[in-house]
Amino acid sequence: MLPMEKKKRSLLVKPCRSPLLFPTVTAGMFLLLLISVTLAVMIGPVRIHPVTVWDIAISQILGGSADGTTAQQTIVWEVRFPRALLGVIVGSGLAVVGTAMQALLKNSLADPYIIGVSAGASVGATLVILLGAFSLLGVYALSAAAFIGALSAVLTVLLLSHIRGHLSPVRVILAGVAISAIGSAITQLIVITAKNEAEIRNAMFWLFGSLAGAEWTSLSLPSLVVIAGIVYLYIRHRSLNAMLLGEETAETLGVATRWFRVEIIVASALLTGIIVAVSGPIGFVGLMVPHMVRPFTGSDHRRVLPVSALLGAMFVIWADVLARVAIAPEELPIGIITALCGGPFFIWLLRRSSYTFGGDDR
Amino acid sequence: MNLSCEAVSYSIGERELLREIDCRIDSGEFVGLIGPNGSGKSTLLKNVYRRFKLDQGVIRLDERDVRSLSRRRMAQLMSVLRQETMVEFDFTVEEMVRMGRHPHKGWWEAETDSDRDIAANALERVGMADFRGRSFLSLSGGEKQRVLIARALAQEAQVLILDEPTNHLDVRYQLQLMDLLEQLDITIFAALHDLNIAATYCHRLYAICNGKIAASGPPEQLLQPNLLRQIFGVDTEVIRHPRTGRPHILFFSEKQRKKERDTP
Repeated sequence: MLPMEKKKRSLLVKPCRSPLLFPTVTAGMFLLLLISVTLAVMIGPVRIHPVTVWDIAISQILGGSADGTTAQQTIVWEVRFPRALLGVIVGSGLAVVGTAMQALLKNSLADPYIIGVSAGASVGATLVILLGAFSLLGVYALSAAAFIGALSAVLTVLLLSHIRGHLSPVRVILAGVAISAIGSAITQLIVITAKNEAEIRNAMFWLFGSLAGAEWTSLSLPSLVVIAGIVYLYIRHRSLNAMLLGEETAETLGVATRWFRVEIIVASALLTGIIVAVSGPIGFVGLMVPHMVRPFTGSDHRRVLPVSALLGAMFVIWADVLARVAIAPEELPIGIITALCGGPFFIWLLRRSSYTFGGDDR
Repeated sequence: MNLSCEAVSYSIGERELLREIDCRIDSGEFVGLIGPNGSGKSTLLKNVYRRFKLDQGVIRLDERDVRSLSRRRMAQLMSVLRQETMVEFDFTVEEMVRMGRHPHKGWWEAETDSDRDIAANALERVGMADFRGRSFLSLSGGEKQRVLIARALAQEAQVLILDEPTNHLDVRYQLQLMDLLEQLDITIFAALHDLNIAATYCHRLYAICNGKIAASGPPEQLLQPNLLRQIFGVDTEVIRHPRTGRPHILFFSEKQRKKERDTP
């Protein structure tokens, strides 16, 4: 080697080298997630001892009797546990969708909320409520409509951002902003003019999102879909990696980019739709989490995806705790907390000299 | 594995970028594609690796129409080295090279020891084994290019397409890279902007001008002052390189020629 070759070394963070480090870190984060769930269940107007928390949980799952009072049992099992678990589902789902979208669009600023997918899902969901259609199907109708709304939004954004057959990354963001604004406006219109107030959740829910509606019965579908989504994206990690090198390189590495795009778009819309149907549009989770993870894991999706899912889950759980306690006994919409973190983060990403607005050869 | 283009035409809108291109690269041959900027070098290669969809004609790999191959199958047979610009998303050198295994892995398959060995071997061959754990973005241009070659080697394809591989490289790395490519026992089709590099390393050359093949043949035959003036619009003197025995081109500009004429 030449001497000049040796001295020029950047300070970029080295992804973990030891083969045991990554499993250790993942296991550690999983433990932290369990602790976070416990704390989230403990914290509230009625404080509950951690032993009681798990005692009640175990007795509910395995049968048998628990120590706590009936009131404690109700608070822990019927109110706070579903809420914390919904946080896990929503957080991990949004984080992996953000990761996938950033890879697909090769755009650091991609996120289901910013691209307008969440807003599209809201429109779909509120339309179902307004029309009262499928009300027998309950959460499934809501989810299906939210999925269709999300898919329509992402397709519209992609359609608007094509210039001469190429996807313009700047236009993706701009079209996303427009679709997002239109979607939110329609949602608000529907919510405000809706007659069946009993069925419709309040305007705040569809504007900023909330985990307050969590119930055991509404958890099963989203948890299944989110787990399936994470597994699917994980097994596609190699193609996602190749997409980060740009579409042309990905093709020469054997990715059928057109089909792969369709796959990821449908998966993202599905996850976003299902999540929005139960939590409303919670923004910026998908934007922030992958960026926080990559400095430690590198860009390999085999690592980024699981770690993002864990961190996203923790992030949403704690944002929700904050939303509950910040102005207690009133509750803040969780989206206000995530936006207060995400907005400055977005600006920081924009100001960073090396941020990618995507695209390799245009 | 041989590669052939038969009457390939390609246009964008009204502009005809390639007109009836015929060329054939035999198994194990190292063939260069030369021509001025905008002559269609990259366009032809992009048609070959199916970035662009040709309008007419056919491109074959061992007599099989490339359009009949899936992207995956295509990547198993043909690797492509082009100028890559990655701005933000970083990978380690090792991760980058392992991506060359992509076409060989189904999405249900995990990485095996043999994949890791192939990647390690490829890095060894380009002399970058010590850089395994380093961030790709922190490398110099020459090092990056060598890593990308390692990725192409890990792809284990029989045909290698190169789009101006020595662009932006210091002369030392240009030669190092070409030495490395010359040793490979595969079919190579390379667009080259440096005529002397092309003259030194290629078995055969195609000269392309305005989207048409203007001439073809071994460097000694093809690189003649007349043809070079016609295609590149410069005056040249072609000599034999005293050390390599290969043709070597000396350029001089219009102005220099005038000066030469004026001074007795």
